Amino acid sequence: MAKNEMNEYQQLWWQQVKSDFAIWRLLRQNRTDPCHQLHYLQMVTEKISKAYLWRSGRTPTRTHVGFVDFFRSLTDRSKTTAERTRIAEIFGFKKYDQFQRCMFKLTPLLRELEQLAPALAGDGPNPEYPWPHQKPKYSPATYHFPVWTKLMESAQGRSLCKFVDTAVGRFSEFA
Amino acid sequence: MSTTIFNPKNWAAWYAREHRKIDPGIREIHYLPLHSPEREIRLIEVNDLIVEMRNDALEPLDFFVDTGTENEHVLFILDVTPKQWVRIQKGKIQLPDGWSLEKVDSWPKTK
Repeated sequence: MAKNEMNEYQQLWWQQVKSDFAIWRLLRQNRTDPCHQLHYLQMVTEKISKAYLWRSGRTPTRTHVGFVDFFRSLTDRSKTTAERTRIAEIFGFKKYDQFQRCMFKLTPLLRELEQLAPALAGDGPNPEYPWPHQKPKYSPATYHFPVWTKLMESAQGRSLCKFVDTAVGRFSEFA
Repeated sequence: MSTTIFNPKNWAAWYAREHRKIDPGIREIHYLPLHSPEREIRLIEVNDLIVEMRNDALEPLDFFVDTGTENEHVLFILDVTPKQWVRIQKGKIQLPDGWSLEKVDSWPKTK
């Protein structure tokens, strides 16, 4: 496979990612309830990660894949200085170690975001259904998600949104 | 790093170093060489920032690395919480088929 040439599976996943991403942007612009914005952001980060892992041409073995897995895979692949610099520059950094430090800072927030996924949320806060399942006490539409505040009011949150924007928009350059 | 002879232990050490640079939640990383195919690297990463999946499901994630080159290999990563790691060591949670804790190598190194 030529460098950065997506295979057919990645193409399919990327098409879906771009569609989900467009919806996320619409939800943001229209200032919809945070649960919906979080839901789509979580889906976008999970799907872009899967789209990237499909570069092997094989089904990822694990059902749940998060953005941290995408970071991990991206950095594992970057063995040469030239490739590392290229990847870092795509994401807006002059040096690879700056890129790594940024990922280090973003990882805790990403872990919180991925815990909203159905496979990990269990009977706790999630952006889709009231919980707990047996005797619901909370509704996503009215629940205050701490991760939402962090996304909207912190430098890490802004940085994370920018990262996602780049990962989706420039996917073909590193897929 | 040498690209003429594939040395899985060196690769495992490299991954352990690189992963800790991007994930502050990683407490320890364990390399499981026993019974693993020549071009397969199995890591267990004990992480403070993750949550357990339902039913204690242990699902490693596979990364196919450097496909088509001399260094082609598969990296399997099993992310576990500290509590799960304790249960694994006590044999209360089963590892994926063929995975063994014998001859495990770990980072950070303890004295």
